[in-house]
This record gives sequence, structure tokens and C-alpha cells, in this order.
Amino acid sequence: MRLNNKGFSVLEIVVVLAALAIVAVVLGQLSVSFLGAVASGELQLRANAISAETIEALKIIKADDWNNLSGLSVNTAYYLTYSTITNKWSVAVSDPGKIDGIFSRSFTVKSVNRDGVTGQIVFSGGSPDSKTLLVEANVDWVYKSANKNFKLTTYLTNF
Amino acid sequence: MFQVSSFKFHDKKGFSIIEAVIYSALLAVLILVLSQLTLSAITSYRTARIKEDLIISSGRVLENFLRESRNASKVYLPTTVFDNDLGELSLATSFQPLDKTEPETYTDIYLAGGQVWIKRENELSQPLTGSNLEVTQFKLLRSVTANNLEGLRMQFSVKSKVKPSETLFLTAFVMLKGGYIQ
Repeated sequence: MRLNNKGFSVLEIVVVLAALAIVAVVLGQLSVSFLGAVASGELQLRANAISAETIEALKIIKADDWNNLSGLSVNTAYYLTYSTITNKWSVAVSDPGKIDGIFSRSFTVKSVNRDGVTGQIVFSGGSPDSKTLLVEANVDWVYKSANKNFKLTTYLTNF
Repeated sequence: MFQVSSFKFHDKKGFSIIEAVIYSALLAVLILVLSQLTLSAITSYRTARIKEDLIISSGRVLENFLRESRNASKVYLPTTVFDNDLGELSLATSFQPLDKTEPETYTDIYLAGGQVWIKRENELSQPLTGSNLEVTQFKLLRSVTANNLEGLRMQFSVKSKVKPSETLFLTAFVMLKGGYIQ
């Protein structure tokens, strides 16, 4: 029997290696983006928890004394601090820094107008209701040099 | 001419030493790339699975903590452990919020054996976190306002038991709504 296998030429091997490299890069990118999606899901969950915490903290601050919130300037960023000594939340004017080194938390209060006749909350017209505030809890973080934000809003009332 | 063997090589020249070296070098590169690729694929799959597990378990703890606490009328202090990584929370919830003659039901959420459990009255304990994870912190702090409204702060930290080691840390705060009618 006459053998005719000359093996691979160097050129063939280089071509195969190049193709393999492309496949490797594509697969690598795929797994990186997959991992990225999972990691960003984790941050999303944590941001979600922080936002919910902000709203609950504002509720207990409000329950303590409505003036704690109604005395704040509207449309201005405020911050929250928790004292582990008194076990109480309080409103801070300056940013206490990032939570876990990742998340920036702030909140704003907005005034609410109500229709004079129906008493319903209106976005234009009406007159300001001193017993209702719209609070907006903000959580900002950076993931892979992209700014991410999670926002929760709720109405808080003094009745 | 002198012949060692009667075997004839026909036209085959075989490899030169240079060719052999190049081929083995390329093969080595090939094997290296392929094995790295397989390894990184396995690692990222495992990492992703663990992270998913962490997210699901943490989400369940968060959700149950918030729901049970929000509905509760008060924290039952005798069996509650505050300010400890091995925390235990007992909540008393009224069946009928406005009917003070109705008895209350008790729900416990606690950390034992690396897992967070929920135990409702007359039920068996149910785990909220997976057995492949270890909860290292379930710490509770109690906040009481001047008018006796209760709030609860939870610090929760969970890690995977197996490699690659991943951790997730959460904090949550909730106000007890049932407390309004007390």
C-alpha cells in the first residue's frame, strides 16, 4: 500500500489556529457578557433593597415627626444616615459616602398639588397640599463605567 | 551500497527536525488555547450559577423579611436576638388588625446552620436560603420612634460554600405597619 499522507503544511495549521482564535475570542466574549449580566443582576437586587430601605426609613422618620420631612427644601438632594447607637435614621444635608463602596443614596421631596374641588392629586393647577409630599429615592452606581440608577417614588402624608 | 534493512522508504522524506519542532510548538499552543477556553467556560458557568443562587436566596430572605415584618404588629422581644450576626426575629401578627380580642400568630425568621429559616406558628421550619450557601450574617437592629412605632434593620451576608467563592451583602429596613393599631 502506498501511503500518501503528507501531514499538514505550516500554512494549514496557521489557518486552523486563526480560526480557533476567532472562536475562542467569540466564546470568551460570550461568557464575559453572560457573567456581566449576572453580576449586574446582583447589583440591581442590592440597589432595589437600598431604595426600598430609603422609602421605609423616610416613613419612620415621618412617623416620628412630620416636620422632619416637611421642613426640607423641595427638589433638593438629601441623604440618610443610620445611627447604630440610637438605632435611628436621620436626614443628612451632606453625602455620608457610598454604601458598601458602590451605591450612592439620596432622596428628594417634591410638593404636591391637589384639585380644590375633587381633592385629587394634580400635576398642573390646583393648590399646594402641605400635608402631602412626593418623595423620590435614588440609588446611583457605576457598573463597567456605565452610570446606573434605580428610583422609587411614593407619596407620604400627614394624616 | 550498504543497506541496513531491506525496507525501502520509497519517496518519503519524513520530517526535518525544524518541522517537528514547529509542529509540536503549534500543537502546544493549540492545546493551551483549547484547555484555557474549556477551563474559563467551566469557571464562568460555575460563577454564574453560584451568583444566581446567591441572588435567588437573598431575594427570598429580603422578600420574606419585608413582608412578614410589614404585616406584623410588634416584635416579640423574649425570643428575638438583636445586634448579633446569628440573629433571630420573632414577629407577632394580629389575625384581625382591628379586633383586639383575636389572638396573635407568631413568625420566626432565624439563622441556624448557615441557613436562614422561616417558621410560622404550627408549621415546620422552611429554609429560605439554599443548602449550598452559607449565611454568615443575619443581623437585626430595632428602631423605635418616640411614639413607639417599630422599625427593623436587617444586615444579611451570604457566601457560597464551594469555589469559586462569591459573596452577597444586603441591608434592608422596614417599618412594622401593624403597629399603627396597637
